Amino acid sequence: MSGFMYRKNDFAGVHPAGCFLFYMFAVLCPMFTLHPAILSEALILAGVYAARTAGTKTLRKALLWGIPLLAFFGLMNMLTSHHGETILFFMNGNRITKEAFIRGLLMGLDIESVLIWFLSFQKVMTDEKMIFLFGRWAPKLGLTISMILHYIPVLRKRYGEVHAAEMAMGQEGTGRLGRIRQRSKELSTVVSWSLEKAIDQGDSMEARGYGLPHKTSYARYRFGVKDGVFLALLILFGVLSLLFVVTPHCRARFYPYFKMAGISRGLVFMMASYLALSVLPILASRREERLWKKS
Amino acid sequence: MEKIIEFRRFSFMYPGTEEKALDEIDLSVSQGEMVLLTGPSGCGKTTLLRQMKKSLVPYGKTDGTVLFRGKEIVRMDGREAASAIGFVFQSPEDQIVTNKVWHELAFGLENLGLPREEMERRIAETVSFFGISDIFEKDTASLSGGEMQLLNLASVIAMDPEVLLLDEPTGQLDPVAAGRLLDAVSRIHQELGTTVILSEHRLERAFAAADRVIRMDRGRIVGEGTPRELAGLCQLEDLDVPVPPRIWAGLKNLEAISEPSPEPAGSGLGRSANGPSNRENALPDEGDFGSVPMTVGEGRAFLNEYADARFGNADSAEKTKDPLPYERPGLEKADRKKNGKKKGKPADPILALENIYFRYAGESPDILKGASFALQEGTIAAIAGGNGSGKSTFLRIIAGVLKPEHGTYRAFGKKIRSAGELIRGKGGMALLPQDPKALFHGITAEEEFIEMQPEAKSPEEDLSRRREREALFEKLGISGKEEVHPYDLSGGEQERLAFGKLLLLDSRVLLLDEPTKGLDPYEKRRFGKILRAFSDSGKTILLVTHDLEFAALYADSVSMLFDGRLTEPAPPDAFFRRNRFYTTAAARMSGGLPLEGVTAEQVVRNAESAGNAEDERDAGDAGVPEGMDVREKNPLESGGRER
Repeated sequence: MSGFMYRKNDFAGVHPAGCFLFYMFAVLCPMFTLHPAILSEALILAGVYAARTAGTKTLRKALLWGIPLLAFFGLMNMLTSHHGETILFFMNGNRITKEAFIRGLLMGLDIESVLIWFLSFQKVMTDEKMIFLFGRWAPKLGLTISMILHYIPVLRKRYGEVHAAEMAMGQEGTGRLGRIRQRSKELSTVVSWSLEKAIDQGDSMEARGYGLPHKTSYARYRFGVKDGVFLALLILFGVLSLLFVVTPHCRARFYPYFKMAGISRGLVFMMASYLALSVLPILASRREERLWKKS
Repeated sequence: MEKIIEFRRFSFMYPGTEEKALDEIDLSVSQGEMVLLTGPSGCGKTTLLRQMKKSLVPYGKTDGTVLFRGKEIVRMDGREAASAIGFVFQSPEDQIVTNKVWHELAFGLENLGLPREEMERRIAETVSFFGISDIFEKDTASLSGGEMQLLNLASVIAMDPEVLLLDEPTGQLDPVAAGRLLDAVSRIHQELGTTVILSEHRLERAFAAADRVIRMDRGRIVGEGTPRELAGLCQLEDLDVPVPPRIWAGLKNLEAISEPSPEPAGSGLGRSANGPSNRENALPDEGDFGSVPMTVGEGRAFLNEYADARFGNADSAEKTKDPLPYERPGLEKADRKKNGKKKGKPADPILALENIYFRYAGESPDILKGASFALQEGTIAAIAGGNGSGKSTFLRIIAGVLKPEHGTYRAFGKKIRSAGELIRGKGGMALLPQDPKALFHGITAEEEFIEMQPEAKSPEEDLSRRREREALFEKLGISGKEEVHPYDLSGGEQERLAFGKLLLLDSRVLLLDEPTKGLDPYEKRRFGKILRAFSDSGKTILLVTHDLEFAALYADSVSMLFDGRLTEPAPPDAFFRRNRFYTTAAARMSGGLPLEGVTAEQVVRNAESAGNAEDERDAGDAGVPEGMDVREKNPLESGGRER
């Protein structure tokens, strides 16, 4: 059983390698096509995961931002690409066409779906999973990343202390130059302070044996049979989706007029594979939940 | 029993110095023993502890040997040195390396190259032993100081050491967290049989739990024995001993002064009171050991007995109230205020906050819910409260660093609506943060002061600035350290240097955030006296602290922050006597008794005056003429006491 405690989330019990590969496929597939049906599917599935991991508020915000994004791409493409049949108007001797606009919109949609996938990626691929994956190749690197992640909030807090004390003394620095000088003084103090504390930290590390040869890495995720099964299914559906998405069945054409591929076996298979791919993590975590409840 | 650690005629000098940091130390520790090191800062406790850990042995000149299981520490194998001997340092955050609790626990085990299954097993048992499964997945940055230190301890214990060394582990912690940590150390000692050697200033718990106490001063061992033995030899002034034995010693002295002859059995006191007990003298009789109170509980029993024997009927004895603190006329100030009220108009507070609400952005619970507070000019006010109660937050709101969501703030007579309106620095307020190092920007102590002074534009000005600095160094007791790097000063010296910087600002109100954190008891008193000196010269000081004894000794008024609100400020005497357990050890020990007091010294003084009053009363009954020194009368012979 990987990990100590059971956590109620969609990726519970999924090995970090599985998580990473999942997102790789999820993001890759829509990139190969501009078919509205496929893009919509990708967006919806990404949205589901985003809502479940990052929250509906975050999702809503991201979707709202998507609107200007789409508009931007639509306009950009309109201005740069001049193919297409339906002319809306002329500008500087260039044809501004409806098809170009639609293509732009769909490009925007493509990007938006990738962005929405990243919303959940951020929450799922936690630092520790990243560290785990990197740690396998380079244990010291894993520790270094962990230390960096530890230090960022610590340094911010320290700077906050120094700055607050200076502010509370009324030392804010007059004028732009004065303020810059004040800030650099504060930063320099944070650096010396941190260097001083680093001595103690080094002592603490050495006291616990840091630097001894043959360091191992505490792997919280073990690769078991069920992870193998998961990966196998993942690769199966992922590769299938990719294979289908590059065929003409999943294409959309824009010039000279907009036409998307109709419903065909290829399209349906592609979308079905992609759907299957997407629900794998949820199925895996449900199974985990059932096992847990049984025990 | 096997000697697990042995120092044989061990001396040590840091490079570049001539004085011995450790001088002819002969010490052996048995397997499974718990040894407590006490002594003022600079006595060599830390140096001694570090000699026992191979990776921490400092550079310098050594004489003699220090052995672990008969093997020289410096010759130990690296792996054994890391796993067999564990070390916990004072600062909770500085020891943490990783960003997740589970990773921190695994850190030492990873370094030892243990296989995964073994690591998992050890971590599992460590987590359950310490009961920290609820924080297992947390970010280390989100832990409180106490939790961090507990994690550090757990991280070391996971490596299964035979010897556990701790260097003032509770120095940076609030009393509750300190208690939890020392309890954990006790458990480790008792349930795992680990040999424990720790240095501490927070003695109330450590003293009673130790098998042996070793006192150090200036690199030498000056006292060694069981806790009871050392407690039996202590004096009231020994801040290196917990409060109950100190009070016992102080009262014993009183009896000794007024009773040249030993007492008959019955009161159980001062049976060998042949003059004040002195650590250089022979040990007191065997019989006295049983009666040295070590804990507050024992102390209460002792005081009850004492009060009964000394003052007989508790009702008839007047409850004397000796003023606090003892070095200055605190009572007069309180009276002055009372008189002010009688005359009609109390002085306008220099700061007044009303109905303050505050919460950190994003987090839902309100930290302050309608807190109100008024600060009188020229006083020292203390705000006490548990960890996380919002004391520092409140201080920052006063300093203008944080903005309350609701409520009014008046400072220096003006209503403050934004940080810009608040006078800061000269003529206004200044903040001393928890770690004074946050204020140090220079490379010598003198530079720190120079930074705060306006630039001299003429040789005369330069001279006067220099004189000002010299005087300040003098007043703060750090003259001679002008060329020292601020980080090389001791904790107490750093605190005073930072305070000096604030003084140079010429602010009216000084805000101090936990000024006694990490200081030893002697440094605390020194700092407190300096605060009083400057308060007397007109400065207003507001300090936030969880050190109740410090507040009791040096504050004019104390209030408590709880559940987002502040209690009404009260003079420390009243505040601490009112509370049954959120109060000083001395108050817990003496509460309700005729000689009840807030500090050990006060309890003894009360006993003295009560004794005098009693003697006067008795003398009055017997018709003794006035003017005679009543104290010389043997109270026992005045008759009627043993009722």
